[in-house]
Amino acid sequence: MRVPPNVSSADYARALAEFEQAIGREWVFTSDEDLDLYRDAFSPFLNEPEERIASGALAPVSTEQVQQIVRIANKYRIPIYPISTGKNLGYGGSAPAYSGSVVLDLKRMNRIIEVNEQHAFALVEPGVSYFDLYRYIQEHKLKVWIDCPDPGWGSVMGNALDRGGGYTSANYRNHFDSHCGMEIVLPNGELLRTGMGAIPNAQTWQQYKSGCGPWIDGIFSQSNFGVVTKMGFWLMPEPEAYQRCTVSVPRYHDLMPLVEILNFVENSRITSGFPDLESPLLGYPPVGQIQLWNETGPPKMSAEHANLLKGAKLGYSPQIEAYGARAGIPYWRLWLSFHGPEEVIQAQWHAAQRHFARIQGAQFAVVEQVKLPVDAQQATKYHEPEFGVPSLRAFSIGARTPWNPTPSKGHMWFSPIIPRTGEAIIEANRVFSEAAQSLGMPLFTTFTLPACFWERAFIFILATPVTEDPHLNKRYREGFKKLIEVGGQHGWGEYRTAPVFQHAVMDVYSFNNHVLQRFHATLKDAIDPNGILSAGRYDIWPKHLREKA
Amino acid sequence: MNRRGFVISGISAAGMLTSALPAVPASSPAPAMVTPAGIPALFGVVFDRRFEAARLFGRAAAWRGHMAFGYDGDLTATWLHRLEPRWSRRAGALAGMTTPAALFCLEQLAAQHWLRVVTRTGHAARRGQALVSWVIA
Repeated sequence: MRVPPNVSSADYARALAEFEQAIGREWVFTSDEDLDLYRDAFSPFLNEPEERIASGALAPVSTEQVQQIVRIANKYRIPIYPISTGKNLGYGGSAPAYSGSVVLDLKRMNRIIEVNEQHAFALVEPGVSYFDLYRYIQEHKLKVWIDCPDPGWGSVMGNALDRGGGYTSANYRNHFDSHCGMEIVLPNGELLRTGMGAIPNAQTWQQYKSGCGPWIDGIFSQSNFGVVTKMGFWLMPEPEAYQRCTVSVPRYHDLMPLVEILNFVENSRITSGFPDLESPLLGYPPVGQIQLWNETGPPKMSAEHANLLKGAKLGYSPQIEAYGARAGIPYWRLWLSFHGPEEVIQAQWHAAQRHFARIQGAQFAVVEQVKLPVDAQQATKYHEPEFGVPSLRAFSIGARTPWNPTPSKGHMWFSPIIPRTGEAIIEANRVFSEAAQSLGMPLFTTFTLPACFWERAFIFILATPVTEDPHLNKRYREGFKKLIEVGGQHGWGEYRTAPVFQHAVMDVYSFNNHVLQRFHATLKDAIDPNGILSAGRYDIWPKHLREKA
Repeated sequence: MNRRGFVISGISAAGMLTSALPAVPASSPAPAMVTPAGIPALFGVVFDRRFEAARLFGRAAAWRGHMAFGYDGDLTATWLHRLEPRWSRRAGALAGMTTPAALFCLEQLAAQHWLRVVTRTGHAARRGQALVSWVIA
């Protein structure tokens, strides 16, 4: 039987017996066969000695059981690692950050406690997936939308706590930002509610976020300060209509005003749907069409066009620009989407065009006009998450197709945040392509556009493959860390990462002699003195393990 | 591989899986018997309708009395409406012939119910697209 590190077999046996008493023997897992289910399917250490693995797993069904588990873990100093539905693939999956921890599997806690249509919020437990919440809303015929990532199989709470994002309106795409109120089991087993939830019989727990005094919700995201057992989310009222439009511009340097105007219209709420950048001339797809390209292949390109691309540097050559002008192929295309009453959408689109028209040669098109609601089947004509419909079609990405005959075994997401400017896109391409090439990394091999999941900033979310070759995996891991460092040297940091890279990423956040990490350690020592909870997550280590390192 | 060899391979895969599991009488309630090797009885099979071998697999399973859930590349509706409700009720084992990507997706979803892939066999297919036949239990 596997035993957690720094725990005696005798203590672990006693702890297991007490866990069994607390939650039932059938929900305590120790066999290798059961614990295999908690391996990270995309681990860059798969089958290597450094692979993070669980030494046990517990699956409670209630907050009270979580409290009992935490008290037992404290008693015997058992390191535990909470997961929600364990679908954080590309960012570590369900494997613990501190190898040998006992996974606290919260997927049985899957109650949808409330969906309030009038005030447009939901209150859920950690095991509720986007599919669960979507199905509930459909079954009860509620006129609210979820905002989900792609694929939509993950936990609503889990995704928000790792600060993931989605595809509908700006207010809802940042999943942590759209939360309102939490319930947390602290490492000492006490129950805490944040925001207005700290008032007994609170009337506005999911309506007003910050309560009074320090707003502490943020410390429970991407951290190890508590086990979140309930979380409220603001939902989007079902819009009356949806419209998708494009702004196409002919020249390379149009990228700068295109982004500048996008920022203005988005920050002014002239548009609030998911903006999406494409380069038809460079053959770079918008995020919303990657699935389609993977299913049907990229648009055909003439031999002349393909040949000219080879001569482009940082996505530019005068020859490719001239070819684009001749062939009527835009250099850049910005996809904008709008949700709301039709008359409002038309006014917003009209205003957006007026602003973008200051780019000479800008062309405008309405691609889709959709009266809402649409059902899940109708939504498959589009990129479903943009309609608040969760989907599994993303598994066509990386599947073996004639256009991708050798898919990888998985991937690690390289996801730096860069400023929202055209200049930053070009500079980041220059810096990362040079670094990636020198490291033999398969990233930034062509001019790469960022995504607009977040307002106010761009993000690159790029897949570094996990392969069947351990030597290649090692090279990619080391290269990944180097790219993190290179990004940090330019003031760009990752927004989220897998445990294997969390030290490298947090090391970049080094202002004032790593005061942020020292602050995290101070909180950790105060809140979790026995260091039982998610040791090492985002490089926050308990005292006894920091001293050993 | 030529078409005849490909189709035979598909039939062989179908035969291998479905002959290992008993036929279910149409009038029977949810099966409670356990098959050899301790795999619970099958509640159904899933197959990707885009591939002839998979369609043969689905047809063979249906002929043997199993529920057969075909899909056209996108697993979403099949999983949400056909598979997940049954997995939540511990309805039994599921067999399938799909692409490896679809199996990966189902394997991850099955793990939410503490189910796992108990057999898997790869098959070559046309146009470079591999298929895999499997059982999750």
